Amino acid sequence: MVTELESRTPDELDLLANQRSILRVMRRSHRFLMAYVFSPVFAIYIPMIWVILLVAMMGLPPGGLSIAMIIIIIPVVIAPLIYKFTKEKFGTLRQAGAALKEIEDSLGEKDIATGLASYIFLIFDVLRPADGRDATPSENEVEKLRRHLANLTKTVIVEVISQGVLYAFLIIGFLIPELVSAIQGGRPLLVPLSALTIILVILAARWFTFFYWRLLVRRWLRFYQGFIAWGQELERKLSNPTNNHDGRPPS
Amino acid sequence: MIPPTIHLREWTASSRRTKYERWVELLEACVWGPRTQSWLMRHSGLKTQMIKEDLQFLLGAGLLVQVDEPEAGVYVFKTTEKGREALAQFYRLVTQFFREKHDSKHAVLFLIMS
Repeated sequence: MVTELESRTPDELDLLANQRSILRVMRRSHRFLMAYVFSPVFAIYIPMIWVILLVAMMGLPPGGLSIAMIIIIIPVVIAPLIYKFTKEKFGTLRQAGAALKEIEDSLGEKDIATGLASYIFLIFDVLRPADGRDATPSENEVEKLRRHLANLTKTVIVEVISQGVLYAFLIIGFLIPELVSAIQGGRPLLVPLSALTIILVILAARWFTFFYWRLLVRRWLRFYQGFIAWGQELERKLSNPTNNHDGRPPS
Repeated sequence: MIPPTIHLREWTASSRRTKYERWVELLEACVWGPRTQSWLMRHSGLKTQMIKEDLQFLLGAGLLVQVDEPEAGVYVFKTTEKGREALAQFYRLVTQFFREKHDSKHAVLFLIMS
């Protein structure tokens, strides 16, 4: 009995091999993007609130508590603003995730997958700026994304520095005095040391997440640049009646 | 038999797609089985004029072929071998960029230095 896969022509098998290869890399990047989109809201601000609450619960003087309250209020105010901007991207990613699952399911039932290109462009919508989506493909689109990436890098650097200042304030203002008083009073050091570790881990995680995201966007940027070149070459070749119509991208 | 497929582009405004993006999506939609124009319109959310222009280009370029079924009263489109090659080139373009390893090395170096 001839299986579905065996009945495929060589170019169809080539397509299938490419699809499987793309699916593997897409699954990895999708998981990361899902985590990244909400990381500023949940992974950064909520643990920060808990760390500060923990310090406050350890018993601070009234002046220190009011400063702690200010630090708590800042992320509480910022988080909904970030949520508003990330909500749309998250919605797109959720739909893309459902599409990805459907593609994988279709591969399980049959040996083919459709909708992969749609998924790829949908992910690109998440990465590129909202005003960068227009119906005219050009190098400007790539330039827009490059500019967006540069601006976002500056924003995130400012954000990380600001957070670093907040963390430093927290460490110098609360944790070190608590540590000193714990040593002097002969109390256990576990709680302040754990809090210190959490703070450092969160800050390092933020840097790592941002840097990995930046790499991913740069890859998408190069991909899209290549894609536009591919489309333009395809259009040029196929619009020219003397060409061989092989559909290949520029070498 | 037409295989099951996800609804391409039904969740975003198709007018925001570039023509190259639309071409790839149309080629992929018709690669495993013939599709009618109304099916493509319904699933892509493209406007009639836009899809007609895209189909016209893809047909003229030999990337799609129109298969007429007058007895059924429908006209279906199927991706040609040339179209499959163009689609494969697109897929290769995607994998080529995602398989780059040197960026990861730079990332690790940056993290160590910072």
